[in-house]
Amino acid sequence: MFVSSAARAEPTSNATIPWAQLPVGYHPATDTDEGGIWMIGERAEAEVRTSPLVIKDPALNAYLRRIVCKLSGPYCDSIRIYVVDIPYVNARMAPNGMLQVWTGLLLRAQNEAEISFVLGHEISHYLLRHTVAQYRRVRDQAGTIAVIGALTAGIGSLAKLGLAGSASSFSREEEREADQRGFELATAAGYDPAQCVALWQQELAEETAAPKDGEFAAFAANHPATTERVSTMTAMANVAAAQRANWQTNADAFRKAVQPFRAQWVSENIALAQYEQSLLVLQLLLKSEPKSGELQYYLAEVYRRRNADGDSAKALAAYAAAVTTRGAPPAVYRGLGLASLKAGDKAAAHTAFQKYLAAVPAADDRAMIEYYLSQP
Amino acid sequence: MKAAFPFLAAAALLLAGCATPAYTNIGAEQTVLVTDGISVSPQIQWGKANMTGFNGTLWTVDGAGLDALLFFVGSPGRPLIESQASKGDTHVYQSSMLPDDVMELLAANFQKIGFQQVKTSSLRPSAFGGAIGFRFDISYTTTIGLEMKGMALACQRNGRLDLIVFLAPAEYYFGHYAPAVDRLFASVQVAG
Repeated sequence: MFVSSAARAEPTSNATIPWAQLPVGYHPATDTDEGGIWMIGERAEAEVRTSPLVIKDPALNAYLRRIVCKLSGPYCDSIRIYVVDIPYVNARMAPNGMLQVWTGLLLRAQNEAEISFVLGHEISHYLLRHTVAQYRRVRDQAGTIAVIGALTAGIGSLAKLGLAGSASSFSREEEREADQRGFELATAAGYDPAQCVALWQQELAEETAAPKDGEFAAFAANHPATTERVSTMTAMANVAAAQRANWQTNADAFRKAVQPFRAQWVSENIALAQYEQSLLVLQLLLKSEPKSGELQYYLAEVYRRRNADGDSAKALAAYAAAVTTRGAPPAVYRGLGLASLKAGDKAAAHTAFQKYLAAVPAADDRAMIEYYLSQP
Repeated sequence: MKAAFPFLAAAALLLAGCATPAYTNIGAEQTVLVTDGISVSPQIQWGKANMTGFNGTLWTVDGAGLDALLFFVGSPGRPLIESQASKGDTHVYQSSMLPDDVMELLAANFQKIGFQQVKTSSLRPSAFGGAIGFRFDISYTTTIGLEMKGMALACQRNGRLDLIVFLAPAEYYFGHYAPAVDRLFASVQVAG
């Protein structure tokens, strides 16, 4: 059931979490192995805190923190969320309460409820102390250096993700438990259970269309088979849906929070040159904003860059749609010029390039555009 | 300053899939034939990494962990950066590419080896020996969060791409060597 957030109250904070395996305000003694694992986590967090990859924007961070607090209730002060500007789908929780969310995940989310189920899942790993058990396993198998690597993987060496993924995975049972408890946290806060599988369905669609590099599909690789998860969580959602009427999605609030970053995140996604996957992401975003000139522009960019058979015509059509739709950036004329040039239509290319330079007189590629224009 | 993690050595090794290379001294004063038909005046003393399994040539002053000058030759239908890591790469150089496409192709290759926030800018025409080539700037963040800057000079002629890229940390190293690399770019000579 879909209920517009506009007509409903805000989701509420969870007052108590009786199944949590750690007391509120917990910090292990430093002379214990758990204290040692936390200390490594704290060092890793100090690196994360100062990383240029972390988005410091106060409004976005405050917004996501509010969601974390609604989900974690009394544990809110024990969890710190960091938005990491890496265009892959990932969220991960460290034993000491450091929670990373990568921008590839935020780009694909359509509303607050979808994100709440992912965050609820990660928070559950923390509350159930799966994270400590996980890092004990890594340490026992591969030593302390591997623990450091696993904690920093994702914001440290991406190349380590393959190792971290295999050595530091949660067990399937822990994943299922976190799915269940995360679902409970999100629904108890009032988030619409029907949204719980949306991001997984998107992941499944992308994996099916274009398998991702193993080392980068970290989040998916660490979790139960996507199809199994979608099936199990859909069943949970069907049962929960009937339990109350005023479920929340908070789509408008979510859109408002991520809108200032969306163009950048889409651009970073396209820069990965995984074009089949980018097309699926854009199709997803265009569903809720079919008249977005900005999204049409990026769709055109994907076709122009992919340059497969038939893409030239698709790019030209998408650029044409973008220039007639509100919201397209001035760069749409540069793209249209380049696509026209490659299609052999120099007149159209020149017209587009002139419009680009008129719209952005100080463009940093002005000299190149003028060179294109100077060619007969 | 951060520990000098060998970001480029790691990248180069990822690309080449080989062990730490040995270096051959390249003097500042000589004219050096770098790739088939392309010569440069080095301006400063470099070390040339002797690597196999990698289609580029890598020069460095302070070590591949701190600065790198990379020379590539692109052939139609082949990946721009060929190595064990690029096997199966579908992002290949095409002679029909515009300078914008070449710039995007290099950025995609950098993303592929794990660099983050890869940004290109200031694409502009530039002399490449006696031919008309193009230059652009590049910046990215390494996997450990080190902010990097780069500059590239390229030329497409007779279906072939020549690409020279200099990369170094934004802090100190890039600015320190950029003037010498500018002069090196201006010294390119094309045979034939």
